[in-house]
Amino acid sequence: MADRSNDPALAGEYAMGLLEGAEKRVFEDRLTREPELRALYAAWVDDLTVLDPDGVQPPGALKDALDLHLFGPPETLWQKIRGYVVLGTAVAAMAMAGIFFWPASADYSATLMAQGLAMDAQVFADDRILQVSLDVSEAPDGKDYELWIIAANAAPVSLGVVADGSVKIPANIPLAGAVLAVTVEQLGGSPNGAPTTNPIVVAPLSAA
Amino acid sequence: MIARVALADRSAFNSLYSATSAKLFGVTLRILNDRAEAEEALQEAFVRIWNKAGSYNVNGLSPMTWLITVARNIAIDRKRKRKPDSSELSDTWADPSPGPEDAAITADDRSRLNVCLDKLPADHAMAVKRAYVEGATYAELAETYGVPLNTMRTWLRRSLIALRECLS
Repeated sequence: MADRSNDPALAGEYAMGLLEGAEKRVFEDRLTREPELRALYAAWVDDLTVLDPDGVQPPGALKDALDLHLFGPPETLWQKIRGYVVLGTAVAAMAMAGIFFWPASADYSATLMAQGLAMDAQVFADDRILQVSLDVSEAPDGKDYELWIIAANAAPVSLGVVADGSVKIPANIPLAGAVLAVTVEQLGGSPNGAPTTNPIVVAPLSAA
Repeated sequence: MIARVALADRSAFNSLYSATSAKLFGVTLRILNDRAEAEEALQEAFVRIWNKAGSYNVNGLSPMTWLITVARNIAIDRKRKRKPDSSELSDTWADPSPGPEDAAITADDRSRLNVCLDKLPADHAMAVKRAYVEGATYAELAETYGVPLNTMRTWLRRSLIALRECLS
């Protein structure tokens, strides 16, 4: 490789895609080690780009297919489907076993959806239990979602960091007319018991 | 923007796609001359861009030329892997009538490269353009111009050396 007089032509051939097989591999190997050769190659690529054809708009479906390939199905939908499959299987199993029962119905419910959050809340008034089922919960890095209940004309009361499961609603909060809200807080929730940011979503508790 | 794509930033990737997909599709379409294959090549190119954005500057290329190079290389690899199809070869390569390449040739006549290409013998200049724009191989070019493969290669290398001198 002492003779470098062919390098300008060789770099041009490589930039055009004309080198094949062993010649191509040898060139690529040299490219990783020889800055002068990289400069020759980069110069060709820059010069040749004026020959590139005009753009042609690809079909819109191509981006959808690309996203599906790279990122999988949209998460909410996927998790919903998975949820339905699990529920369906459980219902089928119960039906086969002949043990069919209805779960106690909630007295109030709310659905909260925002960027990175999709959850259902059900309230059982007798026990003052709020049951959260999360479909999506992707708080920004280093943050948590915090759930609040707000009675008419009252300050928000924390129900803790958003998580699947049940929380007890304090006895002094009237359920009728109350709303639920979610804020983005530091990890572990607001340090002072009050929201530090505006809610990303607010939803009234509707009577079931 | 490529730096943000390298950090797996999806919104940057979406912007990059909006900004460059038409250009890159033009490139793959021209080389493969088949819409379905060109779409597959474009998708493969963006998968590679998403996965390899972190290493884009290793060859010293500017962002846009790197993107074009990724798309070009994928399209050329796919073209090379096709089964040799003599009917397609004769359709695409032996047709001496002015093809769509002439549009590209006239697109930017004032560029340095085109000025330098004009100083080459016309068939040599055309061989350079076909090799680049359509991803033609030496074998295909030799067949088109009815010369032995080694002669074709000599032509082209001589043309490249002349171009490099003219461009420098």
